[in-house]
Amino acid sequence: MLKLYFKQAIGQLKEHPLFSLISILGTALSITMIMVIVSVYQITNGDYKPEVNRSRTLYVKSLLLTDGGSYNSGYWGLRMAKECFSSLETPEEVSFVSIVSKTLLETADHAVKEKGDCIYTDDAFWTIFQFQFLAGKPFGRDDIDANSKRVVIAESTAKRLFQSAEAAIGQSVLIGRKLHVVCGVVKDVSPLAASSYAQVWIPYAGTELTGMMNEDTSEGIHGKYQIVLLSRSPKDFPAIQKEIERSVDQANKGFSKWQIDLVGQPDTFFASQLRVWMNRTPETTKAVRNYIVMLLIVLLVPAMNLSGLSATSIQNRLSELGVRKAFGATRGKLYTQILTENLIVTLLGGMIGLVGSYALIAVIKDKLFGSFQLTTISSELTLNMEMLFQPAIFIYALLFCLFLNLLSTGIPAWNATRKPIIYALKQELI
Amino acid sequence: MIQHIGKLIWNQRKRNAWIAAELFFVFIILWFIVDDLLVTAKVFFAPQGFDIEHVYQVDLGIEEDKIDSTTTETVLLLLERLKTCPDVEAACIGYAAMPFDGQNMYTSIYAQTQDTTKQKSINIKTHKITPGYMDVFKFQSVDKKTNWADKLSNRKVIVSYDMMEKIKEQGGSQDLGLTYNSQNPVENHISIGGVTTPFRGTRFQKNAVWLFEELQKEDIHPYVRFAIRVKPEVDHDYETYFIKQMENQLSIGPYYLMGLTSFKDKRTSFEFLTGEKAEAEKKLAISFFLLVNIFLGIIATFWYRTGQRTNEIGLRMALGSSRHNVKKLINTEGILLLTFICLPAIIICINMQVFELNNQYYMDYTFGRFITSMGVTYLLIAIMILFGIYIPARKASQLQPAEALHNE
Repeated sequence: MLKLYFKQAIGQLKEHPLFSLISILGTALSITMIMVIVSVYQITNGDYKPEVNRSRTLYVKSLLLTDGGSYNSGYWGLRMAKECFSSLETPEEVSFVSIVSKTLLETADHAVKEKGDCIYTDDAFWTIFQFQFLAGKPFGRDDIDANSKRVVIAESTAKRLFQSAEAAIGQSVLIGRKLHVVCGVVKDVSPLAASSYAQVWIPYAGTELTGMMNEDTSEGIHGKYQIVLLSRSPKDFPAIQKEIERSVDQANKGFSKWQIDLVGQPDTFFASQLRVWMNRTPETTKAVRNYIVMLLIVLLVPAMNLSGLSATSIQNRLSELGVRKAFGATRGKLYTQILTENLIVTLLGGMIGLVGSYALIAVIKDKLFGSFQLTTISSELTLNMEMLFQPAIFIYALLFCLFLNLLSTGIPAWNATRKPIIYALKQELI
Repeated sequence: MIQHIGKLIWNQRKRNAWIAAELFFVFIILWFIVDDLLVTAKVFFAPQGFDIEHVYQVDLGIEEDKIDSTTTETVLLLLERLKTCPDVEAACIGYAAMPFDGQNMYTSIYAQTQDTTKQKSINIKTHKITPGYMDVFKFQSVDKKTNWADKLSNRKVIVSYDMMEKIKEQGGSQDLGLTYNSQNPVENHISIGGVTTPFRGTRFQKNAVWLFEELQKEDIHPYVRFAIRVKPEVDHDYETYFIKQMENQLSIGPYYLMGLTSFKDKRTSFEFLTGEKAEAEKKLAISFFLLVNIFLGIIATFWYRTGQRTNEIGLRMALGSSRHNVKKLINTEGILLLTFICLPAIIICINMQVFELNNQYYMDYTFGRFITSMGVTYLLIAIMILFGIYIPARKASQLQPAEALHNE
């Protein structure tokens, strides 16, 4: 049966080449747009190495201090972060990760010198994010406590500084004119993995955790750190939020001047992407609404277009349908047939559209994924296979094809199959 | 003729329904986007009022453990060395002051007025700078004099044109000055040393309510930013050259030279941060997509229709219509279809405007704005329709009357 439908569909395509071309093009265009939107969403929000745990990770980016009238916002200082987050019990891991900063990297003999992006962090970082180690191993808790200056570097940096990943292990490297020793080399990370991206990962000094806190100078309170919390499952999010609020309340009691305002944090990954300004809660509902409106527009307009086309082509076949009906075909059967035949055209357009969307993403990736952070770092924007070819993307493409098919052929087909046999045979639509 | 075509369209209404629905839907969305893009473009392409061409931020790394009480002197020494660099026209330091930078400082200030009941706080963006800042970014003064150092001396401030407007609205003036505290206006008095010509803070802002004050020695923070304006003739791959020339001179105290960042790059980053540019580009892409769809829809509808109406067209030609007339008939039919559709669409658009659904930040709602965006929307769709009709219309007008008439 399917083979017959397939033959019929191909026949139809050949009979009206211009019509077929337009409907395939229309479908392809629509699917291209939809898949660009969906892929961008999937790539910015999906799990891939090293950020494999995004769906169960919470983020606290900013620390807003208020005394009722004035505000003072910034990132977290380590001492304050430890005060509020170290004692949490519900999360599986808690890591303090500094924002990416630019620094100067040099070999010990000053022969090679380049700008590089570094972050300061701790041992829990290597559990929350799954890096692929090419040589050596990550630094551990004792490196932080002992302030041992052992660092992990990215493969490309290792190659430029020391020729190869293996050769880099144990070598000295000057980071911001300070001597460090390489203990591990990891595969390069795409800058789109915004929480884990760097070229050099440095353990922070354990002494900062126990340093001074000064309300007037913000010493120990404001700093350059963000907090990343890995939960056992997303179901724990409300519990973790409660625990953080309790802990922050406790910390607030110790202040004489300032009070911490979490401004709606901790954020899920999606919300954290939208948090641009430190003192403003991200408008998640608005962002979701915008996504939906955009998808609707790129779905509905082509669907109307294609509906017009399929209404015409179905009308041309009205007498055929009349004959089939006269010989006992049920309405449902005819309806399925029209939809299935049209689906073949839609899928053809869908495939072209999917290829088109990959091409478009490759060409305008800087516009699609551009961000403040990307323009301020030393690496080029890279997309890898794992990001682009996520199974979810193909499933979405197929779903949108089915939906588009139903939208564009559903009404005309229903109209046509409803016609009494006589009219159908006479080929009158009215 | 119009009436005749109107009748034709009405008789074909069943067949026109899909394309009409599409035109209707697209007209509304496109109007909304066109209106938004027009007002955004009007602001975007207006003069910036200051200049970032050939301006760089000097990126210095800091060894935190080497910061001490002498660091302030080091900062001033760095500024001196930048100023004396032969390629540099002007150099400055600023705290929370650089344009297109995420670091901002806001504060409330009051205008001194005769009638204190009118006093209302003005929320301003404040900038701590050295006088060179005004030359680096080529700000202009309303009195055409560029003696910025005088204008900032003795804790005087320079205000932007738009801030001066706000002061005047409240009954203040340049001579009366400002105050940080409306309760103790005299003790907290600030004199206004100068007023700049109008400028806009970013490319997506209409105006700038800015205040410039001199960075005092005691306020110098180790993390202040340095900016330089270089001579246009040396500005080719300047970063490499600058590092070679200045690395030793600028690596003093806790500081070491990393490189330069042009303010054009800083602007690109900043516009990603605010997302306004990406938003406008997204809207452009959707408009293009909608127009292509209209093109495809129209081509298919009219192609099919011409095929169906071969007899009719043959008859027209037999009765004396020229090929030109046939083309004109089909073209007018397309445009008329659009015109019919746009009438109900306009009603919806008016309602959207009345309920203030579209952009009101960049421009107030005016009749002129409505007519302009309507006109542009209509024109864009009309062009797409004429493009789409071209092939079917040509095909129709090339028919031989005799063949067309016996078309079976």
